[in-house]
Amino acid sequence: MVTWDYAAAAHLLRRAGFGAQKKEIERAVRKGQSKTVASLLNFKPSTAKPPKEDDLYKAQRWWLLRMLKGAPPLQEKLVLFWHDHFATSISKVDDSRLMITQNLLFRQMAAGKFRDLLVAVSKDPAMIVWLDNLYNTKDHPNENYAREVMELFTLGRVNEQGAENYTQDDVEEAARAFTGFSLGDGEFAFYPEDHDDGVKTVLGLTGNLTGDDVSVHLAGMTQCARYVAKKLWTFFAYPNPETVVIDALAAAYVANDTDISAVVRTMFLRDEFYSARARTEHVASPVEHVIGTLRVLGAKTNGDRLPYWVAAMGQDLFNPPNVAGWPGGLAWMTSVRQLERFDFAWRVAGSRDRDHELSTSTKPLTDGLAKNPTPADVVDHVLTTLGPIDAPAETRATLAEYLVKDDDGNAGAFDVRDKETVDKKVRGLTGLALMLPEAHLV
Amino acid sequence: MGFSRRSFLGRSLAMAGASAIAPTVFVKGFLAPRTAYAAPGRPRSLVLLRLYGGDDGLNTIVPYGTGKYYDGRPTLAIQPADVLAIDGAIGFNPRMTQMKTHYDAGRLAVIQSVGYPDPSLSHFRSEVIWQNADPVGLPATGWIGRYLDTISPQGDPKVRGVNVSYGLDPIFEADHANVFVVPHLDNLGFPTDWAHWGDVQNKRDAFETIAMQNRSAALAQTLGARGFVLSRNVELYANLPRDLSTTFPDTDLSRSFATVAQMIAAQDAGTIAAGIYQVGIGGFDTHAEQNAEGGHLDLWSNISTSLDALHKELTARGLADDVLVVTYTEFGRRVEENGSTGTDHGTAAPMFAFGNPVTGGVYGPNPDLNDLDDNDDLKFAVDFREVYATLIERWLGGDSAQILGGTFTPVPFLA
Repeated sequence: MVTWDYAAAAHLLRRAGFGAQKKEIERAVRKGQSKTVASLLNFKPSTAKPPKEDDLYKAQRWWLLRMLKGAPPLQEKLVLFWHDHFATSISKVDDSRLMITQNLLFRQMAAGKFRDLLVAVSKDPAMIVWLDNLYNTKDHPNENYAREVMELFTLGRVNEQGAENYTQDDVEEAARAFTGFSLGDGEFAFYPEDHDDGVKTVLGLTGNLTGDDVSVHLAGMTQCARYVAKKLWTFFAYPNPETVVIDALAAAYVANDTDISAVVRTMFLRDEFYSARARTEHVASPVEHVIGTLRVLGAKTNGDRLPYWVAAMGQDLFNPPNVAGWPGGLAWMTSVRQLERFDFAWRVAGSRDRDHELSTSTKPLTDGLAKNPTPADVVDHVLTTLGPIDAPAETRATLAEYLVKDDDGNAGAFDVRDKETVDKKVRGLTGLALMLPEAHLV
Repeated sequence: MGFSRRSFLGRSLAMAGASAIAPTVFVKGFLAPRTAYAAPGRPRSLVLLRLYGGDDGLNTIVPYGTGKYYDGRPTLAIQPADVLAIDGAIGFNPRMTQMKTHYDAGRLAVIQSVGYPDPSLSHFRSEVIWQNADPVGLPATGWIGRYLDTISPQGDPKVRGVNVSYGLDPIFEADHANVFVVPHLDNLGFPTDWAHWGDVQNKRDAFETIAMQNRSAALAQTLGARGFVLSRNVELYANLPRDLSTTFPDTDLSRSFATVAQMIAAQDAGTIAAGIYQVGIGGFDTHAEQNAEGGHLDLWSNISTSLDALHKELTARGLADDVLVVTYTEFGRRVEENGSTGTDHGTAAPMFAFGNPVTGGVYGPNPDLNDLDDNDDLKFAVDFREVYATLIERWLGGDSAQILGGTFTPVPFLA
């Protein structure tokens, strides 16, 4: 059984959404685990009002502001997951309106049946451009979508035992099934004259297969259940999950007719989701880090800089590096990207002016402190507010020493009621806290 | 050192004040006398050029003497009159003019039909195979990372390789050797809160102390260590001289090569320790409209002019004898074009080795279009690990068998 405490509730709200402030976390603690999970899952798809013009920056800003402010949090998190899973890039699609159409599709179907989502994705205009199905015709089949739908969207190249999940023949046969899936006037159109009506065999299924037949077949395979289960767990909890975890999530997928909300519910109720691995083996993506940090601090922003910050850290939304999505993990923390995170830490910590782009108050960092707090109390309080960030004792001691150091580097007094001290040291502590390794693993 | 902590900080901040953006703090360590990193003799550099997406080797080194090539490529084939002929069988595509000139000058090697057994047509699988140099197992490190581990002591904060990019390529994954990932040298600085200058050194001290503390979680430990390496190297790289005597073409690739030239000069001066660089160029996954504007031919034009600029710059600096450039890609493409005037994923492709140290020429047999594999793809003739072994044994200096997990015969493009 999970100890349902402040840290556990904060962890769930961070991973299932983008983090919460103290009051909301305390409310979730009182509510209990199962009710909190149920209320996270209980949302009606909201579509919001996306920008109408072809403008990537505006599309990114719109989406990021949805994540920052928009409910429901789990919907927003799942949309981000599907964008990474069915990774499609504007670099080739070349029209942000098509990227938004795909985003709205993810929004509608985020927690629905995977089978329906997969069929819809095969007809999504951005995807059709991205993986060249535009050119996939009976006379000249194009393998691009057929390969990636198996390798990246449903099965993986190999299973957990290392055996190949499909052959080159399966790719070629599936490509024939998807022939004729194309576009007309920027929307999906099926061209019967381009479709190959012959008999095909894809992964044991033989017949005059259409693209839908292949999608439904793939979504119904046990390997697909396991692949999607692992992918979800990796995104929300940690990479390389135990077999028993994949078993449980895959079973929920199969028992509930490919229903993603059932898989997600199972995930949020597993003890492993709250384990030490879950709290130390997931590197927060740039979007998670930026949105999460701003949310827990209650920072004010008009969102103008959000697209730049996450892009500089390596997550240019609507523009993943390739069809496999963002590699995640330590790939988020290359030299230049780690520097961007440090830069962001100090932007957040130092935004003392009432700037529309970003403004942070020290109030949430000092509210609720005991009357005469020790430096160690202040460190604990700030780390809790920002995460909780699970820093080791030695690190907390170094931060407490920092709080009392004067400009000559000597130990001095520390008075948390002194405005200058708060502006220098509490903001300084915030910046240092956001640079901690643990701040990027929450 | 004759000045106190305070006076040091005051001095460095006054220097930093000259720059409005990303001011730079020199922490204590940087004032220590710096000994040259270079071993006796001149330091050597290896510059890897990665072609992302799978280069269509048949439209790079064109087998214009082979009828099968024209049979398979009714729209995409390069016509014989346009080929920059090497001999009666093969030649460069028409946009590789500078590379052809360097070939004629004897400093460009074409290594034909490079691949590996049982090839994967998956980008992701094949690029890992090439970068980790293991077609069977899956080592967690890249072959360059493993080489760098052999020359880098544990805990050494020196940076040994630079991935000129935003993301780390798996080729640099190492056990402990440090690799920098930066797209260029501009805007580098170690961020802090500049509103309280008197507290800046306290913050940096706290950061470095924390970064070096032991953490039980492995990932946290790694992030701490990476942060420390950053703290100890960012200003060093930020302050490298930027002067260039060559006008580089206005492309991302060329800018990356210019950055490499600046770092090689710094390595030669003993300022930095890095000796292996990788730059990349994307766009080779040419499933559709391969010969359109911005397509495959334009990519090679960009590479050819950029390599030429790099060579000119290195020559002007007297460094051209010390630098070797090698290209690689995850696979070649199918012999037959597809229905979208493009080519799908294939197998073997050529590699290039370029620079004054190279013994120019064509190595390895030309692809045999009359003898394809079961999937109608090209058969490889040179294992890519033979090329790596050449680089390790004859350029970097190391035990290729240890790094590659097997013995591979060098290809004689290096003496």
